[in-house]
Amino acid sequence: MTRWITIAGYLAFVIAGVILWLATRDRKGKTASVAEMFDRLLHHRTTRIAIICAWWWVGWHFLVSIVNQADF
Amino acid sequence: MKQVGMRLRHPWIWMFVITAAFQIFRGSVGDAIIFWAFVALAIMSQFNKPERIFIVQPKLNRNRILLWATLATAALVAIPRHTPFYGLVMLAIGVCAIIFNWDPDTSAKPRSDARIRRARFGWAIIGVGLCIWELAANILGQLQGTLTEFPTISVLIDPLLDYPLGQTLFVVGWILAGMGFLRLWSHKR
Repeated sequence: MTRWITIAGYLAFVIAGVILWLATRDRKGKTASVAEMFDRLLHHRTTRIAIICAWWWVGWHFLVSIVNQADF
Repeated sequence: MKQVGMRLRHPWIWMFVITAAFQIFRGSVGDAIIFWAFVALAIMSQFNKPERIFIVQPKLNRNRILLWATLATAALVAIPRHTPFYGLVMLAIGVCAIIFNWDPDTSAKPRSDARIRRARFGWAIIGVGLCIWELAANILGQLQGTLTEFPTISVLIDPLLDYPLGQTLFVVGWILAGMGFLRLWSHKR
């Protein structure tokens, strides 16, 4: 039971992200689009380097590190 | 002294410090070292050390970006994962990404308007919420000694990457996400 609640939580955040992305695609809307937000965020070098680091670590974590696998 | 404090106040420095400390709690020494290295990079950037790497910042045109992205994707799909060579390729990608993005801020930071603030708030809620949810799953899983009842995202996704199709889709998605995050096609900064 707790397994499915945990998975449902992840899915809820993913769905919320997709909805927010779709809802803000219009560049004339009240909320900036993802592209506009990143254009501004990446202006500052430390933020840019930090976002690269976070992105790179996701790849490293899944492709290089050995993750404990549960029995499915 | 006040200026040093201001520079150290950058939120990403503290996010990496907290994550590095959490990796120690997780017992993942390798990830802890990586996140402390990220802390060091963020501090170096804040103190402009070095101010720039290239005297003239190289301009990557779209064809070159596509060529390198395709080569990186092919390598990351063809090489068996969890191998030292794979690690070297990943390290090379990370080092190149940082070197080519170390150019200093060229103009004053544009003012954040209400539209940007709303977007940041929305994405921060989703991002931080997801992190807290995963953190809770990780802690509960560790306390109960089970990976199945409170699975982390890694536990759910990693088995899919054992299949060639899963690895290919992940690599393509990861490379595209990197290109998207860095707005490589727009050349805006």
